[in-house]
Amino acid sequence: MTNLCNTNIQPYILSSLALVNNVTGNGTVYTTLWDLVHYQNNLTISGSGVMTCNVGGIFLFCIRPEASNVTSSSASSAIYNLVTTLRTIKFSAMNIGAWRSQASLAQLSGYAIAQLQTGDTAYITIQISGTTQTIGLNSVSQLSVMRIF
Amino acid sequence: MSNNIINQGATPFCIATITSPLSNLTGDGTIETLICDTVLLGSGYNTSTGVFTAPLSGDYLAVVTFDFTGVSSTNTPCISKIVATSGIFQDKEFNSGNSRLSTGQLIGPSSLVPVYMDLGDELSVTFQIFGTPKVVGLGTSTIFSIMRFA
Repeated sequence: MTNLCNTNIQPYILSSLALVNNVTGNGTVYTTLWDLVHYQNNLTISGSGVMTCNVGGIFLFCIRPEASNVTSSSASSAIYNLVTTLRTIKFSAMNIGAWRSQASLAQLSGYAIAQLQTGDTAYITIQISGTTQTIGLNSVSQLSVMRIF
Repeated sequence: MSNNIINQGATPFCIATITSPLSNLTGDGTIETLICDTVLLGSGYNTSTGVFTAPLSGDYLAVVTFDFTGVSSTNTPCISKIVATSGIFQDKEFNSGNSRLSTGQLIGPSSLVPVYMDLGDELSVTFQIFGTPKVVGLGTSTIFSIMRFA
């Protein structure tokens, strides 16, 4: 029957990152590699960080990347995107230097509701500018994706 | 029909954005209502008033990301609120001047607020920034989404 789904098999992902160093800071656009997948159900994620939708619908994305080695000299910009087949949603464009802690960490959370059709892909990009390629991502970074309907 | 079945066609949701940038909305403390001019998906959102009206009772999730433009270093607090029939939820208060890019743009941090809405209840989003004349606007990365999840 069309337009019906069983909530017991709602696709979802909860994943986190292994620590990565020196992935951006000089403007490099880094695609986050969500290589530690805690739960995965009917929404797959590849080793290159690309999610593929096996059941189309409306999805909630909760993105919590924590940048490391953020110094005041890397204060110019942090641009985070959710790139889906249908649309790119920019969920952060901020001065990350102003958000950093004394430990030079900065966690910017982002949320987005997006439509994915069967076979569509989605991934997260992170681009930080203003310094050399010395900024990494901590392992507390997490991505949660859930198909709502 | 068993439980655990959702009819996608009847599940209320809406995703709306701004396609024509807006300028001079706040900056002087003016409280503005977010009015998206384009509905990308779904229904229930009034592009003239910025108000979403619930077509069914239930638990809704509102997600908002602002794309502020014209923000300067002297802009201090940025306050955003979800204004629903059931209550007002102040969701963000932060220093927009420190957080902006050198271009004056500031996107995020996003808001995610669960709200119970009865049939016919209304929900909108307000924002205000202080510290300058009324020169802060909204860009095309602004997005408002709402969906019923239970």
